[in-house]
Amino acid sequence: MIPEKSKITQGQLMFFIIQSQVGVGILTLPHKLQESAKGAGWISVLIAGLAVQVIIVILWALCRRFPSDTIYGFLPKITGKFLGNLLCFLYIGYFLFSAGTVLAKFADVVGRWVLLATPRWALLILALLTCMYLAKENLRVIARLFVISSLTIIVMVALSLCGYVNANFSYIFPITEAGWGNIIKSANEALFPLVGYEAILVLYPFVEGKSGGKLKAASLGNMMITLFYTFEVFTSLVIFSPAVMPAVSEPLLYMLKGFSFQIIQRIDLIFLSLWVFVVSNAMVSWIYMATVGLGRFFHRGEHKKAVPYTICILFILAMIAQEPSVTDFYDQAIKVSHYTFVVGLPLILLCFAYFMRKRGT
Amino acid sequence: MKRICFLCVMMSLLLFIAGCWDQDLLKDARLIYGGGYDPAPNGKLRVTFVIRDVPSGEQQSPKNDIITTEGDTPRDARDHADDQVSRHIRTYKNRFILIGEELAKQDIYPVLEVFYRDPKSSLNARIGVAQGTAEDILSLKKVGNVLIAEEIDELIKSKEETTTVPKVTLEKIYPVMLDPGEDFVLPYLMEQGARVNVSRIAMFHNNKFTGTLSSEESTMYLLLKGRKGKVTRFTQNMSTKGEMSTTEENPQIRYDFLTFNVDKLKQKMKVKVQSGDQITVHLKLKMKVSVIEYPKDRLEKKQVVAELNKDLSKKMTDLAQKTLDHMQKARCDGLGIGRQLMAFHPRVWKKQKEEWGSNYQKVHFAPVVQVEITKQGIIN
Repeated sequence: MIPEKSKITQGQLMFFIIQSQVGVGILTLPHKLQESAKGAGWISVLIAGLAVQVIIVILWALCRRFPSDTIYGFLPKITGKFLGNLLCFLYIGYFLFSAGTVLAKFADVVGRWVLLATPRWALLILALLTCMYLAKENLRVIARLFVISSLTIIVMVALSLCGYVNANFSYIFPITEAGWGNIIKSANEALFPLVGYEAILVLYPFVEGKSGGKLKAASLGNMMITLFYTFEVFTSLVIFSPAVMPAVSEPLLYMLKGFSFQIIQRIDLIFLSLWVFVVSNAMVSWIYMATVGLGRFFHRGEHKKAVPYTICILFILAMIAQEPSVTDFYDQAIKVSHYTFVVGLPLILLCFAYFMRKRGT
Repeated sequence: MKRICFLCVMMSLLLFIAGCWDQDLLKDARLIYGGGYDPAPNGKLRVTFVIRDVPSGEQQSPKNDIITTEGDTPRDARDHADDQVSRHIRTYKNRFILIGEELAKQDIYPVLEVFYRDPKSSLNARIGVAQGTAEDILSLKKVGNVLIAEEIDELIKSKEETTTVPKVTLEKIYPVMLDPGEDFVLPYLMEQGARVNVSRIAMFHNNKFTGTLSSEESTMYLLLKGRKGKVTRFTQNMSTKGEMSTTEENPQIRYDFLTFNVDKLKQKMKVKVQSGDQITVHLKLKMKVSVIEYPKDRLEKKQVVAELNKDLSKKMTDLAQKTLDHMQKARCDGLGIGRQLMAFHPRVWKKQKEEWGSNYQKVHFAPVVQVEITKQGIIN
């Protein structure tokens, strides 16, 4: 069923999850969390990470019943052919939409921080061409690159450590200023930068080994990313006073802007270049998930033939999202569809499959 | 064939998209190395830019060009300056911002806002307050053989190392500037002869310049804040006969002074709130110092050292008290007492935040400085 050269190890699955989760959210997350949770924003991230863990278990339990099928394979088996295929298309749409949102935000940040005069289409094309180059490869190649590029996360942590020169820990106190209600509510906000773990729905059959190990790998990936996000949010919170935070929408970049080493004047640009790397990986991950589905329906399982027109769709999606009103709409749509497709539906499907005793071979 | 076509198209495409829009060549730019801001009589800003010119010949040394313009905002003034200067003015390499005393007495945030908003500005530029006008200091053009922009930048930098002025860049004061619970301080630049003197601190309250600390007090403030630089030297008069000033009254006066360097510093600050919302701040400084000059006594006797420790501790405690008094008079909450209240006594802060400026003046400070001589150079 799955060609040997597309198989990946559990370690690679972990890095795949990591790379899909780190996206554009990381830059703006501290700003958003401070708005609602005040100094306890970092606790919200931990709570969100915990919630993601629960969702991962649900997804895993669902996938485990069909060990040799991707989501596109087992949906028709659970719900019947017509409804199943319809749901498959909705999932493809969701993946594409997620990729489009990431791409739009990516272009926003780069356009605001570095390439001020470069038109948006040029930024998008540059990003998409790179993504295309990777996304058309088989899964093993993608996973290998993800493993290597995870090194950039370590460098990002190291760079953020510079910020502690100016840290003032009293900025996060009193921790429960916003109240636990708000802290948990902002965990909801923190959930979206963490999306990407749903890759497990598509990747599950490609991974070697037993199901327990796969869960472990996915959970470990999620844990690392939750910790990474918590660290970055905490860093931003101790560096920017509560009064400044509302004014700074990308605190991580902003704090690095004022630092300079002997030979490098603008560390924020270095950070941004690493971030570009990580973001395009996240996009590749979404594109891969979508194209696997498209490939199954239209190209007899060859996902690479679906890549070129997928890229075009993403380009259009990201070109539309230029005004704040549209991006806000995108955000809302992502939230709703995330809850529907990644939390709600899998839970229903799981119950359904459980009671109907449906199992794959 | 298909592949070759594709490659050709790609190549030509890449040729066209290689950084055309955002390229900004150094040869088309005039770099601003520093800027001075003063109020103009008609409510406008008077801005003085130091522009660095590097002549094309290798033998010639770089030169500074000073240009002064007026405008409604800093950016407006910069645009006016651009009208008078060939090529484009660029601020990537801006190294310092000088604010004239009179302008600093008004709110300085609107003057600095453009630097925070512009993605291309250099946030690591130093910032200081100029006695008189910034224009006067920048108009010196050269101090000795050094160009004014370098001189100011390097001077402030070296004074940061000697714990005379705080390490302040545009970025560092940004979180403090908007925070109601803390005030910032800046280096205070004075023109002296044809030179620039940086030895004092300008205090701010609510982003407004409210007073200066003397050079000794400035160092003391930095120690109280726990920001010791590489070198921290104090000279104290150890005379037992009181402060007699002339050699005629006290022929031994040259023998009375002791200079020491603070080697190690431990600083502790505790904010306590007693009943009736009386705020008491306990400040504890423990210093290990080395004696640098002291002509009077030999320091081999333990008793002498103990005596000196006691005297110095008392003198330094007095100095700390004096420093804090001056800061309270200027309403400058440079130690972030409000910040501490906000974080650890939120209820008290809620009551006091409306009138924090005057409430701060009622805070009771209890500084204790302990000095311990641990080194004495290579003679006893």
